[in-house]
Amino acid sequence: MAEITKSIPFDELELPALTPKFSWIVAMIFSVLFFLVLDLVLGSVTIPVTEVIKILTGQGSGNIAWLTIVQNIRIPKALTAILAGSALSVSGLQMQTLFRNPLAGPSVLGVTSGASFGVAILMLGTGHVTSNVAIRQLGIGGSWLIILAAAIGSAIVLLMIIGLSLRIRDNVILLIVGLMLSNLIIAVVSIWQYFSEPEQIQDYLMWTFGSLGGVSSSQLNILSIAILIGIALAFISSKFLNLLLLGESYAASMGLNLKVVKILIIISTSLLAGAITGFCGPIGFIGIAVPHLCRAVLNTSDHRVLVPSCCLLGATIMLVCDIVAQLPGHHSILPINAVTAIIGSPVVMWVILKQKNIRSSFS
Amino acid sequence: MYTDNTISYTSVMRQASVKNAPDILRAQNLSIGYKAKGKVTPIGSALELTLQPGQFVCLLGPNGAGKSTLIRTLAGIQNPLQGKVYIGGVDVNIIQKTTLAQKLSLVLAENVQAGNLNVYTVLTLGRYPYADWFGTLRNHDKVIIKEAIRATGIEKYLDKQIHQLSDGERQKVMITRALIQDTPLIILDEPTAHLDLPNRVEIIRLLRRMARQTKKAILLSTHELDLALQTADKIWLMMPNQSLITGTPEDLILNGTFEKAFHRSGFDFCRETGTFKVNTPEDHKRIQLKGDGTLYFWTRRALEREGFHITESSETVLYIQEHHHEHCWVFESEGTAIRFNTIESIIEYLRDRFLHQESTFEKV
Repeated sequence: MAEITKSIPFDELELPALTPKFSWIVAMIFSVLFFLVLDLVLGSVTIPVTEVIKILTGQGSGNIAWLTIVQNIRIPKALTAILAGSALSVSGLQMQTLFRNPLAGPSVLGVTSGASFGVAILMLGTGHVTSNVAIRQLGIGGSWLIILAAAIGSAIVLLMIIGLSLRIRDNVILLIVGLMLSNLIIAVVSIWQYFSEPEQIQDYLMWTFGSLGGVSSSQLNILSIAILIGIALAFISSKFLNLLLLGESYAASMGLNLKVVKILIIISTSLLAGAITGFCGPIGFIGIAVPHLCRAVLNTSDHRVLVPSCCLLGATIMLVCDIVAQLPGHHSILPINAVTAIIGSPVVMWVILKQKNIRSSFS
Repeated sequence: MYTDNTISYTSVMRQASVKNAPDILRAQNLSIGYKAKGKVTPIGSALELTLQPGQFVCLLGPNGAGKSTLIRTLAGIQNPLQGKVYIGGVDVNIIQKTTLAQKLSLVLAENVQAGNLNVYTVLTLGRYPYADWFGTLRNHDKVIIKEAIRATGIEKYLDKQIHQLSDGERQKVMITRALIQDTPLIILDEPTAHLDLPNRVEIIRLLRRMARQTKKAILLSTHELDLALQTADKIWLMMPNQSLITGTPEDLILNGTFEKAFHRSGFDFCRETGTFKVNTPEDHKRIQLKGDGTLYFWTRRALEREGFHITESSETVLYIQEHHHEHCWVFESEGTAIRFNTIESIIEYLRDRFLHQESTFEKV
């Protein structure tokens, strides 16, 4: 009883606030807007900011070339970057929590390769190659088909991983198995490639470099719907993800229906990673790096905060990567996959070195 | 002692209101164990168990006796091989997960390791079974959270990250979370497994206080025989023959159940002290000890550690003399008496003396 009398009186006990630092969220929103405009301004041709803002606000522009470039090329590309950044980050976040592994991410556990396999099978079946050109030729119905194929491909891989995770309790072993599975799928795709026509191989290689520019306006609509559904599902599961942080046994003891929640998370993750991979090619590092950055910056593990902030930060970083990939002032374009790796890997290293508790992030 | 008026006590004689309090947990004809590849491995069978409000019960048993399996079966994580578990009158395997979470909370031995997860967030997760979809905390929730924090005294580290806490502090947070889940039954699977002694004592005392104050039924599995015997209202003892015997700790000691449960060759449970006998007396080392109180207890401990058999029949006597706050030991044998000021010096002397005796025995 002595303990109780010593402690702080009941009414004076202040419960900490759960709301995150709003300044950070506001800063993230502004940075998305800032880099969005910058992404539209910079490129092989630099268009003045005032003109870009005019076009954005629907006032048009005196220069028809600028209008066409911005409306037909740069806006779809920038929107794709935003979608890709958000989708990959949120799917990485969900996987890190689900597998309780800081190195989990769509590209690591074979989800991306699963998606490419799905697309490859679709292309093989229809006699096309997995290239942006080929995707464009399929039209609206084809776009849905690609999302479906990619999502199913990644879902199959995720289900295999989940099935293995029931047997393999050790996260490190699971991660290695995931990597091997990923390699296996890539190998199968390579064998198929080997027996393909040279121009098809080139198309496929181009696709593996990743590109944000291959998505047309009409496909963008479909892609946004798929991504929005995926993010909405992730947001719905944010409370479940919070419970999963304590481990599956605790989560179940608090009334969480593990089966339903896992299925929900798998659908969301494979839809997000699958759709983006199908359209933009395998884009690495964003899915691993952004969730860690968000946790470090906001100092929270609350997924109700992390899901939206991963969207914002992921979008920002993807826009930055796109700006870099365009090599402003030059006529050549760097493959986006290389740029995300160049920007992403130092970020991952920085986070791991700065945040000493990363090992304890997930047991 | 017995008169004609003496009647035998039965629980029927209890007041009706107390007697009819519903069981929080009831297991009927319960068989536990594993089913793998069509092969059934039973661990316990025909178990009949009940838990009442306010009871603090410790589940004891040797390693591998099936404590965790029983805990998992009672908590509905694992299906029983046979029989039923009822929590609040409802079958645990039929009950909805969220409803079960309002009746039963769990604390596990495993360490929760999550980066950037602060203590308060963990606590708020305890309200999950009651919260709306987005988990908004109402005033009522906050009152319960505050009460639990006050009860376990974890105010100091509310803002800390969970990985910054010591094992003991972290386990206290998990217990507070269980209290916040506000269930009539709390089951803990070896909650003191990773803790040092002061923390183990603190956690067990805290749990017993919670049972008394909040009328929750608390069941914990533990290896802390000593602490369990001192604190538990009831002991559930898993026996080697797959049965489970329940009773008040003292009854189980007196009727020899403990000795049976923990019997191994060369490793015996001592009925007198409620502990395991670690030292085995050597035949030729016999001594009589005269004295009382704390000094007697610790002197006896030292002698037993040296392999002495404390017996009235020995001619060799060690007297404990106490005057006010000073004490000394006097050793008497064959007409000589030697005075000692510390136990260390006694032991030193006795070692030399009995070493010599041993060699004389050998000559004979």
